[in-house]
Amino acid sequence: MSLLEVRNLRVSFATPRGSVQAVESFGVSIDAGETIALVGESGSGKSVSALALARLLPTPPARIETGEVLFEGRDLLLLGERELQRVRGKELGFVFQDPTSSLHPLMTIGEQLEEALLVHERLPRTSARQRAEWALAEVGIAEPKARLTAFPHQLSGGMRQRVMIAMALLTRPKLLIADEPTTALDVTVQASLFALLRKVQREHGTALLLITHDLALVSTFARRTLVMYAGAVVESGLTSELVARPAHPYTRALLRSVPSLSTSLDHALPVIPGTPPDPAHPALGCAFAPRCEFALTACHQRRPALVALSTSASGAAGVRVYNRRVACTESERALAAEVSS
Amino acid sequence: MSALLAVEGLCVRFAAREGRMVHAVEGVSFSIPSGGALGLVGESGSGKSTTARAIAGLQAPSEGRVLLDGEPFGRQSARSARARVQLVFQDAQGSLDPRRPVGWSVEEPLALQGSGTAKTRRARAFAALDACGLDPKLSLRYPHELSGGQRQRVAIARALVCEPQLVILDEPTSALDVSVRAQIVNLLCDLRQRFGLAYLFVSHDLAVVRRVCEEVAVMYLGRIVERAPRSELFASPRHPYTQALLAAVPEIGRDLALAPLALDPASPLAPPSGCAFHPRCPRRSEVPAQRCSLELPILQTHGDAALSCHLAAGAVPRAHPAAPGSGASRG
Repeated sequence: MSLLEVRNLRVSFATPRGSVQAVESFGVSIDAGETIALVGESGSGKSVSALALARLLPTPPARIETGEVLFEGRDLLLLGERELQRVRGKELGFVFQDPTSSLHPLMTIGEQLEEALLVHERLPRTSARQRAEWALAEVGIAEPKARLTAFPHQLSGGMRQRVMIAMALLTRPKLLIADEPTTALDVTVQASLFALLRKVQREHGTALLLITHDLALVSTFARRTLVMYAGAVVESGLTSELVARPAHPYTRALLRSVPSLSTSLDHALPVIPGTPPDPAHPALGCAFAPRCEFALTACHQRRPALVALSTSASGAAGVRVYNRRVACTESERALAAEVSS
Repeated sequence: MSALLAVEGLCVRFAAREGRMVHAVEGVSFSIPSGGALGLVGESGSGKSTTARAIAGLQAPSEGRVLLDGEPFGRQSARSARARVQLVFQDAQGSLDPRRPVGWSVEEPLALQGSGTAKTRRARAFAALDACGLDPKLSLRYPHELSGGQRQRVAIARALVCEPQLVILDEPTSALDVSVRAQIVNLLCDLRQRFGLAYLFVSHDLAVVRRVCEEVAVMYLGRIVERAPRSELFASPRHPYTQALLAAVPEIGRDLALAPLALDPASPLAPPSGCAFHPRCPRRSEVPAQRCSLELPILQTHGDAALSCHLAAGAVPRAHPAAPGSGASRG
């Protein structure tokens, strides 16, 4: 049984101009200790999906229309508020992009770390303080005892994000959801935070759902990847295979448009023409069709479902498609030819 | 060869609490030839944006000078001289008036200069928007009606309309989505060739800098620690900091060097003694007598590259293969 199994999650927001579909269909299954990346551009629905599965979205304006979120077999969408809080505070950990807005500016780091332990583990104050100190040491903060009495503004950005990770891991959650955890940080600090996450995962068997727009980061860190576009998963599979042989035209184009330190400078960077669609005006057919170089007439008329990449199309091309799923039925033939070339 | 922009011994210091001074920029010197592009990279707090702001005249330098075509350049320069240097920031939303159509914002610099008639100003604004890949019809739209990529195109058009010689770009692609970032990177390369612009390109994104600039300067806590042509800097970085910075960039198909540096950057409020990088430097033990923690290394020039590191001080400068195409721009 998977640790987390999300099926058919649909989320909409009520706006003054009517209901907007933020997530059209989202599903994922995460095993214990596994690292999965959720990749997409802004507005693709990746953060909304993650917040919705933990019921962290304010309802209204958000509305979870359909879906199941099975965490260790229990549907989080059906739990009462008290039970839900017990799961969220203890079994699930969250790290967001901006630690400044997640930390209380008027409480010391120590008070904020201890709070979770006092509430969820009912520890006495002295042992809570000791656990908080260990937690800071574990995430590589020097002089943890002195830092307990510091306020958030006295720490650097990288240090604050380390505190957030320490806080998320205090209750030894089984799943850590990290939403753009290093986007605001320098690459050197990003690298050391990912070294830290990997160490924590190895030592405690924590599963990680990493939400990011950075495909290059994902390619080095996550075992499996889901690519989202306009509120739906358009491709998923093993990261190494997906990056080497992307099947969806969006994944292919996105991978090519990432500037790198080694590609030739003789040609302009390949780009995806146009801009991501406005969720207030959804397209009838495939949401990527207006920007897709392979689009056929049928692509504009019918939305493709996420299906397993057929082995007949890919087998001949010699591509391993372990559990690869793609939402691009109409272009499958053109793709199979491309993939084989 | 006379440079279009010459920066000589630039220092910017801010007063901090308890009578302390923050040395945001210390002794920064470089030059950009006409039509050249220099990338200024480094972590946050390295002083790269402050350097750009001081050059643009938005921040008074504490010491040093900025020369444009050999003439001192700054706040006191004539409006016509200042029009030759234009700025593009990360946040296009904040650079455009939310209550005016974007076409007005593109024309505004011309109106401020009192250049031409209303009709010729409009024509020039349309031409600038067109050059940036925007339909001039969009000039009637308001900033909030445009996408992030379109807004950044408008901000670039507003800079171009003055026909500048130098454009200072401060993280122009950092707030954009992956697919839109590639479009803007290509646009910047294209505009430079078409109009013979020179760029000072400030960014923490090394892969984007590599695309746009043929020369790169790396800053660390207020000082330039390495400067080299693009072909050299990315192929064989010499400063241990440049090496760590490049190793930390995630690349598709390459394992991420996890934790190339053991520590986070020091605060500019309390810079370490000697070489400011020494507490994080993985190679400081290779230099005898704790020299790195005691003595500030000097930026030494070797050919068209420069390096500030005690490690290299005794070493023979690397031979440069005479490659006339090494600085050539991309096609």
